[in-house]
Amino acid sequence: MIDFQPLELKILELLSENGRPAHFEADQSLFFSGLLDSLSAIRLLVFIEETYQFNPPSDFNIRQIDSFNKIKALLTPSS
Amino acid sequence: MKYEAILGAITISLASTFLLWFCEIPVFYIVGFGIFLHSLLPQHRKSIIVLISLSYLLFGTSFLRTNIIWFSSSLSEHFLVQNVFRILFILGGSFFTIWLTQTIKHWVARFKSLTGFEFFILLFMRILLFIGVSFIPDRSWAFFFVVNILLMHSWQLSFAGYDFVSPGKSAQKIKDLLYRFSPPWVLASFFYAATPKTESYWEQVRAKNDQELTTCRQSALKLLLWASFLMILTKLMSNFFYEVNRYSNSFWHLPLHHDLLPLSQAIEQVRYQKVIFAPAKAWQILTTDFTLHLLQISVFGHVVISLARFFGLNAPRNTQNPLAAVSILDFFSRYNYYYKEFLLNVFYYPLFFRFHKLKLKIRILISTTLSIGLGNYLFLSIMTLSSRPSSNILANAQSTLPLLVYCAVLTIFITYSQILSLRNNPKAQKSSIPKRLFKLSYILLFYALLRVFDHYFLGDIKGNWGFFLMLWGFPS
Repeated sequence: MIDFQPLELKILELLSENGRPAHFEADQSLFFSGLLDSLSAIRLLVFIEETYQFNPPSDFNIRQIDSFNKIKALLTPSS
Repeated sequence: MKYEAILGAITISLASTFLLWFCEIPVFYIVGFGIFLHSLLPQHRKSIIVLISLSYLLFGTSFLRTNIIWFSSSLSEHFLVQNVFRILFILGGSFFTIWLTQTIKHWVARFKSLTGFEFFILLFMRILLFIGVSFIPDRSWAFFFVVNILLMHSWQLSFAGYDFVSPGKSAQKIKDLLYRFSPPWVLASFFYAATPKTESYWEQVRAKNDQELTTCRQSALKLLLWASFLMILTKLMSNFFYEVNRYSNSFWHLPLHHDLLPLSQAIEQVRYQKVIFAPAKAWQILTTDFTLHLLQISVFGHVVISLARFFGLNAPRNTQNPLAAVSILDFFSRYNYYYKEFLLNVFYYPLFFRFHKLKLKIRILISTTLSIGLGNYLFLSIMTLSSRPSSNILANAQSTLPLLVYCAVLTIFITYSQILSLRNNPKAQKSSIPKRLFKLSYILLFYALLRVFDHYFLGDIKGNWGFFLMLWGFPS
């Protein structure tokens, strides 16, 4: 069972750094809506790689981490 | 039926451009007054905004244009009077463009999809309009209308037909491709205007209900008013510092001016006439150019984004308060958001993901060098192809050398700023006002100095270097 609490906290931290309210919906677009900037995308990706030992596939793009639910789906192994 | 719609879009687009050629000022006054009276009739309550805006537009343009051609008086040249009409003109022009675009939308929106061939017909139409602009006589009504309304207020008007339908599979690919490389197709301005995003992006930012739409339109109005204020400030500044040619900058003939040279002219004079500027003068030229550049980018971006917001597309601003920047990277993200997004989406992210096995700093270095360095250089030099000074390939390449320096320096500083930010994000730090002001001044100084090399296609790099050295008191 993967613990997604650190991920949630990281997103909240990034939101706060970007001067956004410390609240987000699980399906809410983080980057394409302009909520978080591109540097935050890199920071979030690096965090995901380091915390969840995630290796992006060759066809990976930023849309795949655009919301909390999308990241969860990406990190949850398909059965 | 589909071709009928395309024909409709072409007709409206061409009519709006070329028919005005033959109109004269009294006609505009009469039509403006007629429309204003028309808007007062009870049966036109629903379209009152469009009608009043149109009359604003017609009165505003008529007044400003009458002033240019036929008479000038202390009243008509008064700064306040000029700018009241200018604001009316901007508001009227914006609403009129929305109305015109929506009309085209209704003509075309009946159809579910466009094929690649039909898409190309619309593309061809746009290219024709682009070519057409260069044949319209300067100071004619059509020129006034095209340059000040179509080009300024809508970067997509002639493409509106295809913007509001879902293209079929074959057209979608072409459309996505063109969207990515849209700046060369943008008539309003090559890179001041925001880079349009893909359809899926617009879908994400579209207002979902009436409440969202109202909020979105309110923010559009605020942004448009802010853009109008900045525009007045820009023109006031350029009039104050530069010698104003009455006809090239004719709507803004203000009483004050100072004989300062624009930076590109100063660089050319250093290169070809061996002119030497005193450091104080050189700094004055540089800072004025940089400030005006920032203001112009803000104005164009705000006008485009406010239009998108009037349509219910709650898009982020193109310029997002650059004076609040806390690092060189942060400033880069704030001052031309859509161009930065373009560089990131097309070059940076794919490279960053591809090299995921390398160390973080190396990944950042490679991605930044190839996006903000090489990608930026190639894109800008291709984009400004039409301003190439010579048919000689070597001479052309040589004239882009300042841009190469610009991109290389920007790459080094952005890479360093990224690495610093990852370790210790400056946005998360709280610092005192003097410290923040100090930071802001070095950020602005960096970008202002970089502007010297943002002027290219001026022969070679000697003028840029010469001017750069003069800033520090070394005459070349």
